[in-house]
Order: sequence, then C-alpha cells, then structure tokens
Amino acid sequence: MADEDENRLNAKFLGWLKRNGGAKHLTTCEKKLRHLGLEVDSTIGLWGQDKITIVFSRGDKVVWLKDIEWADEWAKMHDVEVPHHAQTQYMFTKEELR
Amino acid sequence: MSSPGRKELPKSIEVVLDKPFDGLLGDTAELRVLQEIVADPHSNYTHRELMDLTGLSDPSVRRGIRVLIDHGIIRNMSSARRSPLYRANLDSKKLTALTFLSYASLDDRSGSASMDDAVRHYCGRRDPYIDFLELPGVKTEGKMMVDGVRVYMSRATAKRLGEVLQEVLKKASRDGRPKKRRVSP
Repeated sequence: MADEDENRLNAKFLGWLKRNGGAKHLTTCEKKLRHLGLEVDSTIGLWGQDKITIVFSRGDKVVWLKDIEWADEWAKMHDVEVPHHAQTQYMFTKEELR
Repeated sequence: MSSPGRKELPKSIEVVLDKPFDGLLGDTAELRVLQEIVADPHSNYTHRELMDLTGLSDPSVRRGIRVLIDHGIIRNMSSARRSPLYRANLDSKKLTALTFLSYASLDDRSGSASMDDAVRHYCGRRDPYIDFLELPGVKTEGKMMVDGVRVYMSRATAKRLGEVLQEVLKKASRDGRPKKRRVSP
C-alpha cells in the first residue's frame, strides 16, 4: 500500500467513512488511517470543518463526514466509489488497425 | 448531558453509529467483518488488522472470514498458510450490491444521492481517455517507470477522434506505407 498515491489513500479513507454511515468514533478512524498508512494527526484536518469534522457523541469523539457530495466526488475521481477492477478500453481492435 | 458550545453528532446518526448497514440486518460479528470489507474493498487485510478495525475477538473474526470466503466476497491472497492476507473479490456482485446498500442507508437518512450516483457510475462506462506515454521509460528500483499524460474527453469527442483516426489510417493504408512524420509537442 506504500506505493499508493496519497490522494487515492485519502479518497479510500473518505469512502470508508461514507460507507460506514458517514460517522465513526475517532479511535476507529485512527486505526483505519494507520491501516491505510496515512498520518493520523494531519489527515482529518486536511479539509475544512464544513466537509469533515470532529463532534461528540455520548462523550466520545466522533468523526462526522458532513459533506457527502464532496466525498462522492473524491471517490469518483480516484475510482474507489464502486468495487471493480481497473479497466483499459481500446479504441480500435488490432484488425481495424491493420 | 452535552456542554454548551460543544458540537454534538445529530441524533439521526447517533442511533446508527457503529451499526453495520445502519443496523438493518442486525449486528453480528460476521456483519461487522463484512461492513469493514464493503467500506474499503480496495485494501488488503491481515487477520490481525481485521481484529483491530472491527474490535472483534480472534474467533469472531475467524468466523466472519469463513462466511465471507464461503460466499466468494473475499479471497486469501497469501500462499503462506500461517499468514493469510485477505482481499475483497472485486468480481463479487454481492459485494457491489452491499456497497449500494451502504449508500442507500446513508441516503435515506441524510437525503444525499450517493447510491444514484454510484449506480450511474457502475452502469455507465467511464469517460474515455488517451494515454500519451513516453516510451521506453526508465527502470527505477526494480520497477519500470513511464512518464505520461492522460487526456480525458467526452464520449462525443472520443467518437469523432476515433472516426478521424480511422480515416487517416485507412487513407495511409490505401496510399501504401504510412509516412513517418516528426511531430512537435
């Protein structure tokens, strides 16, 4: 995973949070960030608080994804929205190029 | 009791916090492992990592993994028997359907349109693009590195470009050997 682009890793984290209902305890998010090889301290603060923020739930810190549309765009841009294999489509067949 | 000024999670989210698929199917160990895989199907997972991420015990994770393997949702990518490495089976339609379910749960609660968006993305072909690669590339640390530029375009543009290229190639083929021409960037 170390070879992956950091933006794609960020997209994976946002996608993970979104598919977990848009909110997760901070401690769990920290575990996931470490799993992805991202910096725990800096990642959540990368984006504005109107996008993703830390709030409280029953006394515990929770990371809340506020702007779901914005997270959708990240996922689409880095192709992590729906599970699939990366694909290459060729414009011509070898026969057409002959 | 919340302190004044302290931002609290909305109640509508709090009731489903940490519940796999918003609690729709219950909250078992199997579902927790499944939710973790669905939430990030593009990563690899060791047994220990799944325990850490789900907060489940060793036997619970083992049970969850067995169910997911039986259903073809994950695969063990490692040949070393004692250190399995699990990865989502990206060909599994159940995995895709469950991804849509996770979006549907979020959308019903928040009014977002993630599922519609994802279904469109899944059903529709992706935007066409052309890669311009600077071959042959350079070998760096055992890997072949090739610089390149990817140009995305609309389908209409791609179709027109394809037609033009086909005309050019056909003409070159009719006229004999295609001429080599130096093209400046």
